[in-house]
Amino acid sequence: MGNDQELVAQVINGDQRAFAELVETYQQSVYNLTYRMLGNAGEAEDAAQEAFLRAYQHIKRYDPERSFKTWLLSIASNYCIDRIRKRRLTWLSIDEPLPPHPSLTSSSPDPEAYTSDNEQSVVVQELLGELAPDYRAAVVLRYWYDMSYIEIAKTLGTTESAIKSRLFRARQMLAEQVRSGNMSELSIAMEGA
Amino acid sequence: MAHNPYELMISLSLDGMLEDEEEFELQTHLADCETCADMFDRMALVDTVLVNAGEVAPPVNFAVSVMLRIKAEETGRRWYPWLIGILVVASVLAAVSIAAPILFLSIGVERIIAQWPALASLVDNSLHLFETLLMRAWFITNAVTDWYSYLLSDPAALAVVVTALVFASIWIGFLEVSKANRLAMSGQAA
Ligand SMILES: [Zn+2]
Repeated sequence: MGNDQELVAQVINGDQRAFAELVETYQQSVYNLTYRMLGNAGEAEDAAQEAFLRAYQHIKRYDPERSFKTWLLSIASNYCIDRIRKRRLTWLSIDEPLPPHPSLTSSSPDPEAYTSDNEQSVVVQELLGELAPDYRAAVVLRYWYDMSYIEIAKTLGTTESAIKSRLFRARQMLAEQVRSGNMSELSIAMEGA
Repeated sequence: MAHNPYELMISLSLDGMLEDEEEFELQTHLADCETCADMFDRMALVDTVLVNAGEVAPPVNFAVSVMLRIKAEETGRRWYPWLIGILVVASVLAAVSIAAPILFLSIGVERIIAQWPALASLVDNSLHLFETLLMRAWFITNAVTDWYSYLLSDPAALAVVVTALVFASIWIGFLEVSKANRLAMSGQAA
């Protein structure tokens, strides 16, 4: 934590290597968030890169009193929420979404990411995919980052009571999924867990 | 019976947000109410699945890609030192070319050219052709594109155009001077 603030100070002084260290440290947290939000590896990678890029460009706006990880996750989750909303608009219009620059997207995703929780991952993404983006973000921050209601509220720029009701509504919708036939899939996924 | 407050309590319970008495109240209701007990089972099942879903790892070269993207983003908007160098050199050349008529006159290059009539007529013709082409190019460019705002946004294109203008103006200046000088010399001869 203290180390993060030192690295940030070095980045502000123009040291890109210090930022590379921060990327190394938080790449998994940020990528997991964008993957859980967007549901596919290609988009997740592009969004995670974008989140780091924005953090780099706005590094002076970072408040050293806060945790750097929370700040990063805040940028990433808000970017993903916007992106999902735009994706809906894009589907309505004729335009194809812009693919990420070819030289910037790397080849295949790490195979390890998929061998461990293959089937379960599919079920999880199907469940999350049913939720509106801001509900999805609350669920992801709650379950993968173990954030309290207040922390989620700060990360997403809303109130604690809004998060309380989002998580409740999200659980109701997911429970509805279970009723409408995903129960068996879920049970299989649980056995695998 | 209103189940909704209990459904909210189930959600809060899963997040460990209930006080002991509230938790007791919920459990008491669940023991009596099949609807809420069913809701609890389903919410708890989803909860277990989500709790057990691990983190997904990024691609192996992810960190490198991020740093490459940052570098690309930074250099894309930068005025390179060499680009500024070209602009400075081009501006100096432009200034020199404006002063070129005086320079040519003082050196006397144009007098040598004027002594060969064939060369003089070639100079005249190419000057005429050049002026016509330049005028046409000017009007076409103006009519077809909003090049002005584009140039201001792209340093590389600006450098190319300024350099081209410099060479054009040197050439025109050279031709103009030799033409003017020849006229002056033929006047003297007559
Ligand atoms: Zn009930």
